[in-house]
Amino acid sequence: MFKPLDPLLNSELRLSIMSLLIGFEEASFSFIKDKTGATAGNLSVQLQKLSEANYISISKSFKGNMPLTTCRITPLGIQAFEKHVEALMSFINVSKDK
Amino acid sequence: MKEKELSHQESFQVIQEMIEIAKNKMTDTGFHFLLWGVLVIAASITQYFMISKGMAKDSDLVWIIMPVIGVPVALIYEYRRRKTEKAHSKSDKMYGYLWLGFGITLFLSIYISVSFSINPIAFILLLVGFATFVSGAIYRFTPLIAGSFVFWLAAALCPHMESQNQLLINALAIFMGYIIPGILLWRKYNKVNHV
Repeated sequence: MFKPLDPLLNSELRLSIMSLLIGFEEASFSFIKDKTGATAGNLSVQLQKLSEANYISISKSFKGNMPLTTCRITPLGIQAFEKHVEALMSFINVSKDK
Repeated sequence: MKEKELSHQESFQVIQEMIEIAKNKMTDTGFHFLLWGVLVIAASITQYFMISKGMAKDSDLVWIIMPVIGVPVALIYEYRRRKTEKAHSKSDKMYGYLWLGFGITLFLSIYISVSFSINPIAFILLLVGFATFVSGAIYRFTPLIAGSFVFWLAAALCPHMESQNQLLINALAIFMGYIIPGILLWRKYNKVNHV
């Protein structure tokens, strides 16, 4: 039986962000930008969407005079990510069974 | 990266790529292994020669001077590194707790050993071996795991040696278990990590 995919995580960049944050305690905006290869503008928009869904938390501070944006995955985000992976697995398993 | 819907295969590929980044992110620079390695070797050899020159009574001072130098250097280094680090992995957190726990246990072990007038070197080597083994396992870094076996072997040799010679075994074990992996870790960090 297919499980529903999370529409928020069915985009390349948002899924990349979530997969990256799953492995890290926290990561800065510049680190995520570097690793995903996204543009700053697009990344900001996608981070905002994930934050509005409470999948990640974003905190803003300063490192010296430079602004520092730090992201972390929330427990809800971990849950959503796991469900999304389970749903993907269900698609793969059904395809195999056919 | 464009905003596009993914096929199931593509989704798995994205997840795998990002998890691989987290897995390969080495955040231990090897600095602490090198710092404490050099300090412990220097203290061990100094005490060995002080005992040889008949200054055994004052020689324990080297173990007080060592942390007085090491702790501020380690704290300043760690503070600066954390300020410049762009991401902290979950392994870093475990790693931090491991070495904090090690530090507390080490301090208490030395205190208890000295209170019972027991030479603490073998116990210190056992503890160092344990913490080094777990560190190696966390970062999947074989030289550290190999180093931990050197510490355990050195600890097992201690009861068969005179106290003064245990200092030389200690220095040798630290060289093999801290300095060599520390250099390799430093090189690996600089090669892998430039985020």
